[in-house]
Amino acid sequence: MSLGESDLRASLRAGEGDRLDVDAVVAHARAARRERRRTLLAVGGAVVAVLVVAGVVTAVQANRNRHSGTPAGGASPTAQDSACPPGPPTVSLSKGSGRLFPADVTSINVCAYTIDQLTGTKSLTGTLAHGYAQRFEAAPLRGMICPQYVTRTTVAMLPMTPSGQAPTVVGRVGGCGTVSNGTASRDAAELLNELSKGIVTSPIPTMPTHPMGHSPGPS
Amino acid sequence: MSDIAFRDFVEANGPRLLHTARLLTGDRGHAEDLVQTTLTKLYLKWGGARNPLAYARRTLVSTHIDASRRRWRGERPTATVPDRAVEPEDTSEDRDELRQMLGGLSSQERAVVVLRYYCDLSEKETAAALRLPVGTVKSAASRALARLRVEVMQ
Repeated sequence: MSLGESDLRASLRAGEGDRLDVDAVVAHARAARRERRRTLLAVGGAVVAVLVVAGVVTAVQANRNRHSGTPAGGASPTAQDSACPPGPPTVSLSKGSGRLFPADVTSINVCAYTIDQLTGTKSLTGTLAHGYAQRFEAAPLRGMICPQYVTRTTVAMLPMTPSGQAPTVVGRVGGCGTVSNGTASRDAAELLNELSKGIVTSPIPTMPTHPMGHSPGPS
Repeated sequence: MSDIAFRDFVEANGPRLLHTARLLTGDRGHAEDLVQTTLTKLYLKWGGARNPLAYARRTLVSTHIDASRRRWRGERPTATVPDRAVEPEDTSEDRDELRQMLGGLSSQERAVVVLRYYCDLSEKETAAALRLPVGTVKSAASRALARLRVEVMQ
């Protein structure tokens, strides 16, 4: 037997004519469509649920940030990023009249020390931080020898900006209340007192001593 | 979607698709499953497929080739041989030597032979259905015919 194309065609056609159960085919197809719709609905529902949860979380976060005065998004550094050092930092006292705080300060972590122990912290954010920074900038620099009281309280202010932490500003409560960041200084006794209120329980000046006392604090 | 139009399509083309599937798989049970899968896919696309028969043929062949590529993974040796349904209607086909010889071809060659010589598609249409270059279809058809001729001579 030799195989021609017509033989092949004839052979392939042999036995054709079996019928399909059309009802079963259509019923199966309908069931598949229902199943697919259910799956699509479930997937769509899950996507919507995830989006809703994400939206609610974002809204709550934005609301929280708005109330705390920081910009929404949470990407910028916050006061929590600059933790208080365990002991009072020291900075060299400068007579410069430049800026104590960067212009774009977003938060200030205020750390209070009694002698060399961290005794309290306060976080200033947003407009409150900016306001304090401006008030410190506006404080005078007398440029004279200032009587310094021996106090037990040192206040360190750790400013944060969108680009990170700025130089720490340190002052001692009492006397002229001189604060310095190592390149500039101000005499801001009232502001330091105000700031330390509520953080430290006993910022008590004791007795006058030599000007510009010992470290910690501006020295 | 028009279920009536789909039903009409199945009534008109179902037997031919079933026979195509039988030629491809060599087994009535697998052929029915293959046609059911194909028609379900077509139903879900109904209205979107411009040429439902061409879509059904292409789906049938590609589903079969995909399944035959996967099939070996599903086979596991067992201690006991499962019972098999008796298919008396297959006995006449089993006698058909040429149809049995199709089983010796590769899935792609068998698909080319079935589309070219049973569905009467041109080489170009066969290439489109199989998503292959026309040259590959030509060489596969030529190779398959040569093998079948050798088998017949023996």
